[in-house]
This record gives sequence, C-alpha cells and structure tokens, in this order.
Amino acid sequence: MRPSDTLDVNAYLDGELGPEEAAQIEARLEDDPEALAQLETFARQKDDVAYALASISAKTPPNLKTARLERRLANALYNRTRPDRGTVLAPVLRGAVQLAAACAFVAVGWWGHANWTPPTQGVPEYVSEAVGAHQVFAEDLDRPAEFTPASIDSATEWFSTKIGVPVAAPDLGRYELTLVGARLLGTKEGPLAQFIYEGDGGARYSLTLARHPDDRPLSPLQVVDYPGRSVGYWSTPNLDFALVGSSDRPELQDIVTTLASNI
Amino acid sequence: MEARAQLERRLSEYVTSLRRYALVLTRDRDAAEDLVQETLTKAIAAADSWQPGSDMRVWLFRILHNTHVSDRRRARVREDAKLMIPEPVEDTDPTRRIELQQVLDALEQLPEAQRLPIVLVALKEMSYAEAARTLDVPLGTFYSRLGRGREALRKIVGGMKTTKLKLVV
Repeated sequence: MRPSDTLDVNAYLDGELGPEEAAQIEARLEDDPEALAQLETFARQKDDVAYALASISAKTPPNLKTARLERRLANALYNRTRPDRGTVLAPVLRGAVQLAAACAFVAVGWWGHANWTPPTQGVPEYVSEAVGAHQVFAEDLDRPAEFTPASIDSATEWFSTKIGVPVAAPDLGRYELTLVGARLLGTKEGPLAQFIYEGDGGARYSLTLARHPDDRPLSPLQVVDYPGRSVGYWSTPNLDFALVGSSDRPELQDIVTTLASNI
Repeated sequence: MEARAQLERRLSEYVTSLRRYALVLTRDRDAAEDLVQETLTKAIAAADSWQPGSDMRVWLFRILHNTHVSDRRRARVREDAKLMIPEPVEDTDPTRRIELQQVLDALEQLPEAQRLPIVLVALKEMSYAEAARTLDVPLGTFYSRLGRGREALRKIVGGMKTTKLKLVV
C-alpha cells in the first residue's frame, strides 16, 4: 500500500473527505482487503486512544484554583458575546433598527398624547414605552403578533441577540394567562422585547423587557396606575421589566410580585 | 441566562480536554494542572482578542500548546516528552484493559511530532485543520505526521501482540 493510500484512509476515517472522495475510497475498499483491514485497525486504534485518554482525566480531583479561573474566563468570554449597543449592529441593521425605533416612537408618542399623561414623576422611560406599546400592539385583537407561540423559541433567541442579554417568556399558566405572541420594538432607549399574554376572558397583558443600562440604579418593584391600566415594573442587573395589564391592580400586583421574586 | 450556562458547559468540557492534553504533554499531574491554569490565565488576559463565533476550543488548545512549548524552551528540556499514563484505564474487563494499555504503551514509543496529531484527533475529534492550527504546523505536515504516526502505531501494537503470543506459547 502506498503512503498516499494510508493518508487517504486516515482522512476517510476522520471524516475529512468530501462525499465524492469518500465514495472513491469506499469503492476501493470493496476490492482491497488490505486497505479494509488497515482502516479497521486504524478505527480501532483511534477508539482505543480516545477511550484511554478519556479515562485519564476522569481520575483528576477537582481543583479549586482551576475552577475559579474557569469561571473568570467564562465571565470574560460572556462579556465578549454581549453586543455593545450602537456599535455592534451592522450599518444596515442599525438603520433598520433606527427606522423601527422612529416608527414605534412616533406611534407610541401619538397614542400617548391622545390617551394619557404619565401619572408619576420619575417613572423610567421604558415603562412609558411599555405602556404605549401595550396600547398599540397588545390590545389589538385583530392583528397577529410578529411572532406566534409556535416560533417563540427562535424569537427569544433573536431578541436576546438584539437586546444583548438572554431574555425569555415566563410561564404565566398559574394565572391562566397564555402566551399569544411576541415582538421586538425599537425605541430611543434601545430594543425592547414584548411578550403578549391573554387570559380566558380575553384580557391582555404584555410583559416588556429591556436591557438595564449599566449607569442606572436598579428599580425595586413598583406598581403605578395609568388611565385604564396598571403597570408593575422592576429591574435586575441585566434587565428592566414592565408588566402592563388592565386596571385590576390587585391581580397585576399578584403577578408581578411572583415574577419579580422568581426572575 | 441560558447563553451564559451554555458557555460555561462548553468551557467546562474544553477544560477537561485541555487537562487530558496537558497530561500527555507534561507526564505529570501537578505540572498538567499548572499548565491548564496558566492557559486559563493567559486566556483571561487575552479574552478581548477572542472573536465570538470563532472556535473557542482551538483557541484554548493553541494557547496551551504554545505555553507548553515556551515552558519547555525555558526549562531547556531537550529530551522528547514521553506519554504519561498515570494508571491503567478504568475498565472492568481485564483483556480490554490490557489492549488499551498496549495502545498507550505503543503511543509512548512514538516521537512527539507523530504522537500529538494522533492524540489531538482522538481527544476531542478535532478536524485536521483545527488540530494543525493548534500545533501551529501546516495542514500538509499535520496530515503526513498523522498518517506516519498511525502506521507506526499499528506496527508497534502488532509487534506487541506477536511477542505476547510467543510468550504465552
């Protein structure tokens, strides 16, 4: 057997060949018992080496310093995966987000002026945007949301990328609320994920999540009333939350209390 | 926090593989752990240079390999590092255990240039391109070293079996 044949058999064994090259090797192996035997030997040896090496480290006791370094590296690398808002987005995407932000902001602003004046001084901007978005989108029963429940997993993945931290739609089944849709909104504060829930009677709630700015303090859970609806909002080191619902304040308070203590 | 948890799981798997590779390189458990820690420390310092989406495993293996090479240069160790297998592998079947030990003994007899390609491909099923980048050698060089190494391994193991049979008879 020529040396190049040996190399080809190795490349075949390790899955390094394309379909056509692999087919050529397979055709040759059918007529070449020596090459077939070599392939089988190499395959067995590869398995043996892998198995033996795997067994070595299984005996290694945990090392606290290594574990600590591993965590620090995980932190450093995780920070690398968090997009820096405004600099990571490609120019085309940035333009699209800015356009969406402008549209949403105009829409929300128009609705805002028409319907309410923020009742409480000092309410974070994202809360007002969440209420506006709730009116514009969550209470529109005819138009489907941007993402349906069936595509919620891929939607949250996309939301997470855009917002820069992982987001997810909590299960509100214990309050007999079903997730009916989700959308991503562009605002001047940055991207905002909106999850829309519906109760048995058709009442809509929307949970809005935005990245918590590093330079702003955390908000403890607070509930405020807007005309015809109540809003519960709070923040974690990564995310700002706002749940907007009907004016049934006790029910909303119950939900946000549970959510804030579990997220 | 799923993305964070996923990254931690991947990193933990890679560190286990790094430790195995470090054992092969250093022949000593303490030295291997030191090498892994030095690798992680360098990786933390160089985290800004890591491109999200690129292969973290190859990046880490490459740091470890280069660290080992420079450590050896500093220590002026001229002898070729031999494979260190602390204890026979865990396997309840004695025949299987002997077979595996034979393969490892045979691996120990190979020159490092041939041994490391075999180990890297077996360790974590790296692609040839990834393993070549880890060892900092051209793909063609890696390719031929792997082929020669496996062929030599086959002959050594075959020789061991023949000797053993003669002894038994």
